[in-house]
Amino acid sequence: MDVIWGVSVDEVAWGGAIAFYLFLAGIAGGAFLTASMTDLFSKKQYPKVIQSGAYIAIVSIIVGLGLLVVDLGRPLSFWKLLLNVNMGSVMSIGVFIVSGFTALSVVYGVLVWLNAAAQKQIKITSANTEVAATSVGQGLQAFRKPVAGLGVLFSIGTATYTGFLLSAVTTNNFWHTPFMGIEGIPFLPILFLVSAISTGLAATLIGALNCGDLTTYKKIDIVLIILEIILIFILYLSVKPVFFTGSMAVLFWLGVVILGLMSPLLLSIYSLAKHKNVILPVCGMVVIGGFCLRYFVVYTGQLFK
Amino acid sequence: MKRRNFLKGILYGTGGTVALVGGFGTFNNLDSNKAEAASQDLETTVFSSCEMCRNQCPIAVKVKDGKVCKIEGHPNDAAFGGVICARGNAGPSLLYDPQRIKKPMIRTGERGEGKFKEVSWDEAYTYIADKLYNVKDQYGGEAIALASRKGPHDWFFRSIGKALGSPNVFSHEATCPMTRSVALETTFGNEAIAADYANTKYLISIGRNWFEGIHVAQARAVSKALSNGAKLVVLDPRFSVTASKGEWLPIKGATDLAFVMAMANIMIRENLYDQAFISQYTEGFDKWAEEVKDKTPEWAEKETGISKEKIIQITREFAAAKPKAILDFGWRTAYTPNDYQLRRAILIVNMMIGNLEVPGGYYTTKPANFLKSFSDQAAYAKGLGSVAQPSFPKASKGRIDGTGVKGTPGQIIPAYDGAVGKIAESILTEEPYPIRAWLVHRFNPYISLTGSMRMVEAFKKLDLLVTCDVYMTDTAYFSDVVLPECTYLERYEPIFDMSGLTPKYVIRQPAVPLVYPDTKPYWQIYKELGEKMGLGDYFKFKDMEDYITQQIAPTGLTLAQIKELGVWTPPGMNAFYVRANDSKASLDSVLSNQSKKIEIFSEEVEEATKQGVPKYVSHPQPEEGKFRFVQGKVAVHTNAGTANVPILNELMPTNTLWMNTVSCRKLGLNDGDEVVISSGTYEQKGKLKMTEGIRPDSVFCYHGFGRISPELKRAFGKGIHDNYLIPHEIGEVGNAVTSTTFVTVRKA
Amino acid sequence: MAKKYSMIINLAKCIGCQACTVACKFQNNVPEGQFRTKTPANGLKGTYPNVSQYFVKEACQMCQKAPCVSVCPTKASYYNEDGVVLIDVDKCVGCKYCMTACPYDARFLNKETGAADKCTFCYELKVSNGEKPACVSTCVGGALMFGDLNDPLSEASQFLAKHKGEVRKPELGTHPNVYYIYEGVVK
Ligand SMILES: Nc1nc2c(c(=O)[nH]1)N[C@H]1C(S)=C(S)[C@@H](COP(=O)(O)OP(=O)(O)OC[C@H]3O[C@@H](n4cnc5c(=O)[nH]c(N)nc54)[C@H](O)[C@@H]3O)O[C@H]1N2
Ligand SMILES: Nc1nc2c(c(=O)[nH]1)N[C@H]1C(S)=C(S)[C@@H](COP(=O)(O)OP(=O)(O)OC[C@H]3O[C@@H](n4cnc5c(=O)[nH]c(N)nc54)[C@H](O)[C@@H]3O)O[C@H]1N2
Ligand code: SF4
Ligand code: SF4
Ligand code: SF4
Ligand code: SF4
Ligand code: SF4
Ligand SMILES: [Mo]
Repeated sequence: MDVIWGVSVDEVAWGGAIAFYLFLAGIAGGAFLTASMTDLFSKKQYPKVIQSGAYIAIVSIIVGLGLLVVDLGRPLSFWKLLLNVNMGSVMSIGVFIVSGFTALSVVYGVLVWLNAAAQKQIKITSANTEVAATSVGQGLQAFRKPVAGLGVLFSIGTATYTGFLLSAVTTNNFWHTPFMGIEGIPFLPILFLVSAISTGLAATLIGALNCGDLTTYKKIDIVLIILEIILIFILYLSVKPVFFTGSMAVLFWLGVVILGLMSPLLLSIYSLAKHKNVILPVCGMVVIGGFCLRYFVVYTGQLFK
Repeated sequence: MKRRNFLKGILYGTGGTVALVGGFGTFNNLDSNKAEAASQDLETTVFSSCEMCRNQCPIAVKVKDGKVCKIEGHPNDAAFGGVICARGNAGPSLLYDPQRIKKPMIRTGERGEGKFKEVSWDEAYTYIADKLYNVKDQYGGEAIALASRKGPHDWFFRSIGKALGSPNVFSHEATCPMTRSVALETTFGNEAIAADYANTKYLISIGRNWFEGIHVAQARAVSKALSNGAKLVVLDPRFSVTASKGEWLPIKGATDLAFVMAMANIMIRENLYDQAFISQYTEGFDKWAEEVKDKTPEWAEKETGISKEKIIQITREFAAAKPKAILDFGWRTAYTPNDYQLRRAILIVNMMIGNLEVPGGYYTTKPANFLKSFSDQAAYAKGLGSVAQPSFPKASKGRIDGTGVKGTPGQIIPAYDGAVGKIAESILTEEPYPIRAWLVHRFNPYISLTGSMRMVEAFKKLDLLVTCDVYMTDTAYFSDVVLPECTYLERYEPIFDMSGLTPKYVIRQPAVPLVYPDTKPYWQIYKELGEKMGLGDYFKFKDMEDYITQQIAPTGLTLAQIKELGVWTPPGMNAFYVRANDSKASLDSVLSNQSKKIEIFSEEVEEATKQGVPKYVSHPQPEEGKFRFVQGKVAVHTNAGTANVPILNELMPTNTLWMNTVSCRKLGLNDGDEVVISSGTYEQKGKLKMTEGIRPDSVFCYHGFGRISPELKRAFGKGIHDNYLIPHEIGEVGNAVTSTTFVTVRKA
Repeated sequence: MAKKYSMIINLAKCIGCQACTVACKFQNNVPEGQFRTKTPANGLKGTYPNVSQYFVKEACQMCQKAPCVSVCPTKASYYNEDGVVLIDVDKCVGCKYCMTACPYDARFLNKETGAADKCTFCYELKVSNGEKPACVSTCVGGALMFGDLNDPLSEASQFLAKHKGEVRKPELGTHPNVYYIYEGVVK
């Protein structure tokens, strides 16, 4: 036969918008986690880190959700996701987790902002506002840590959910890959959680660039990157080689492996040893690498069904 | 059911509301929120017939809210089983295509420049009338030629030309089955012979491609035979869909006659033929036996490229299945200049197994008038009547193609069809005299006839070229006047006699009112043009309802009945084969020639062609580096007709050039390459398809692409136009010749 | 008793004519450039002159364990009472999750409604009225059969009893209700 009948539909259902959404949800989760954990457990004071993480979480999740809605075939009916619930659908559950997370991160962000505002009261010029802000702020600060605590759960939920969303597609060999071959433990949620924390932390640090000694964070980052390299290696071993061929191969090797993992790892270790400040390049690469990873996973899973 | 809606259906102007679907029960299983389903009781069905190709399959048109929403096969016609093909299904896409022509147009720029102005019908008629009378006065009525695809429109269309004294009316048949019909006529005196595929046990195709060159009833019948265990053998230089359903024998193009003659040779040598049948019904068998004496399988192997063992095996199997075996006589049979003799030979080999008028063989069609001579059948049906017409003036000159001239092949060419390729030749060479005006109806010679560029030259030399079509076709693009016809879904037409093994009448009636109000049905166009020209006497009917009423009066049916039924066959009548129960029955009613014999040797043919029995002629084979160029149909398009129909264009917007992998390698070409195909004189560009499914010495493309009218916006400039490359050659009985061209192929 | 509607595709009889493709478009108002079903060629296989080819009609496989239904966040994708997987256009938000989940590429986002779309076995407009799906009733090759497998007397049951029906990608455990008969074709 002469032709493939009709236009061939080789577009993927989920494209760049969804990859970006998954990435942003990860950043949001990771950033929130960085901020809230610092807020909850750190003895040292890192107000900049807390602020950076809290604000990045809000912006990321809202932009992410915006992308998600725009990508819907019927964007104006997005609210039906809240009305019609399917407890068997990861997306349906995810909608509630992400909604909860969004609400909490907004509340937390406001509290963080109020706290900061209170501490910087000299800068506020209008007397009335100043009083209001500080007094309301002071009163509400009691809620900050509980919100942070609850938010920790939701941020982990959000970060892992992005993985579960894909891994729940049991008919997709790539997305559904189990962890170390153990049926029942999906791989992607683990990978996405680690990557989310890593990228969220990196983004937070970029937002908190010049605020003194961030060595602890850098160390955590190195651990996370190493963890991720191990995970990627496991992934490489557990799925068919075909997934690392074709149009997405370059993205994987250059974007994910070299730019996103190897280079920041080496640079980071080097900088720790030499006490150089290379947060921007290291964190920048981690963030970009995180996006490449989402893009790679979203596309590859669909291209080689 | 809402009575108001029912009435609305009628009021919308068609009156064709025949059955209401949905009705009660509609709501039983439905979700209440399915609004579309709830409005289903608005859907009405109009029975009519398809015209996405000329097969005119019976259809059931679904109309909702005054629009055709879907077309289905007519449910009550067993041969069709409610089935229509992809093209038939695509009907609404043509109906509502905004690219249809909507108004009469007169050319304002140079020919081929594409500049037209919209005019009223009256202006168009006046223009045509003036020009035609000018030509008639200056050159005589014979300088006017008319050509159309054969069909019910001919009665109206041709009346214009014949009334002006022109003998030069043509059908498209010379491009299609003409060699076959002349072979049938000269062998049986009857060209209305068909094959009973459904009941056959052994079927050999010589390029007949049932599953792409689709006739729904035939495709279903072949499919049924295959399900019942029939064997299918397909001789074709390329692997068609049909070939994929049987045994493919990739024969060298233009050598089929060798295969057929070798079959006869083997059957005679091994005494596999039906001697009783031959002696009772035929004459001239000895001369045939003499002619094939040396046409051995060894010889045929060299000619055809098919091994002698294979030829012998196939022949034995074919003969063993007699009489339920069919060596198919083909449909589009315009392969070689002497294709006619191939078709004769095919018919003769069939008669050697006595497969005439038996199930699983060949039969003559059984219209009502045929039944008259059979006392047990006569009561089933009465024949159609006709609308009276005064006699036409006698033409003062003979036809340009010499039909009817004794001692020449023209003697056996039917004047109804003629050699349509001759029109361009007489325009250009003015031999035997010039054609100055050409009316074209439902035909696109630029795409359909060989030698396209010669055709364009001819167009340019004319005083008047008129095209009536539904699209601004390539031929219309060169015309002086373009007349927009409405589509088949918007018009009445005469009752169509589609008799097969029983009589059958089919109606065409409008399913919806005119979509573009300035289009008209052909009968109205030619009636009005005739009246404008003072030829109103030839069109003595009020409208098509009146015409049909006159037509069916003798049958005892009424217009209302046939409108409601859509298709009519005699209730209770079974398939009728003259020899089914009596193998020695007389075939006098089937054989309409003088001898009342099947003429294996024909005096008339001897006189006309010097070949009273078919003789072998060896056609050249391509030398190294050249390829035989063959073409064929594709399931989702019709000839020159549908390349621009939205849904069909969406399915297949273009064609490709098939070439065998080995040949591609030799030329350093790859699948998907842009290539230049050259006939030496002309070149076409196209995309290469590398395939194992074709002889290494041949290339192939689907017909109907490479359109040059920019008004066919979807199809314009896409694909390969085969007839641009094929030089114009007229075969022995006036047929176009399409399988003897050699081309070279190089990277673009 | 609930029905178990099923389609049977007898590949040996399919001639790739696309009558089904076009009938489906009109029956279901499928937008330009989109298809609920198509019947592409499988092949050519082999080398000249020993080649083979057949056509495979593709559409929703009507999984009894349908991944598209289980992932759908709004329950817009559902099984109806006769085991047919349908989409409630009203509930669908167009998230395309079902499209990623369908292993047969059967779904698309309808350009005009924005909702997921796919073969419905022509349930609303044909089957529930006792008619056959549009593609089945126009099949030129006679390759398509449709019927209730819970009714042992249906054409579909009878045919499946005599011929080996195969489902596509059985390893995925989707339990399709569309059966392919490979008898008579070179697989
Ligand atoms: N879908 C569809 N159906 C149609 C039509 C359509 O356009 N589209 N058109 C209708 C019409 S008008 C007609 S006439 C019929 C035609 O029906 P067919 O005659 O069956 O159709 P074609 O495809 O033209 O068949 C020609 C075949 O002959 C092969 N061939 C070419 N040269 C030779 C040769 O020298 N020897 C042999 N043995 N084979 C050769 C070609 O490769 C091709 O496969 O179909 C009718 N039905
Ligand atoms: N090289 C090569 N040449 C071939 C063939 C081939 O295979 N190879 N095939 C040959 C065969 S078999 C044939 S039959 C011919 C066919 O050649 P044609 O008879 O020219 O082709 P058709 O496709 O039938 O369409 C003729 C025109 O009718 C128009 N039409 C459709 N419906 C209507 C209507 O309702 N009213 C009017 N007025 N016009 C309408 C279409 O738009 C189209 O322009 O071509 C032949 N030419
Ligand atoms: S064969 Fe197809 S296109 Fe031709 S009349 Fe029949 S249904 Fe229509
Ligand atoms: S084939 Fe795809 S769309 Fe159809 S039921 Fe199965 S998973 Fe759902
Ligand atoms: S696109 Fe519609 S049907 Fe598909 S999963 Fe989303 S809501 Fe459900
Ligand atoms: S059953 Fe209906 S919806 Fe499904 S492919 Fe056939 S025609 Fe289309
Ligand atoms: S209509 Fe039937 S024969 Fe034609 S492509 Fe579809 S399934 Fe195959
Ligand atoms: Mo034809």
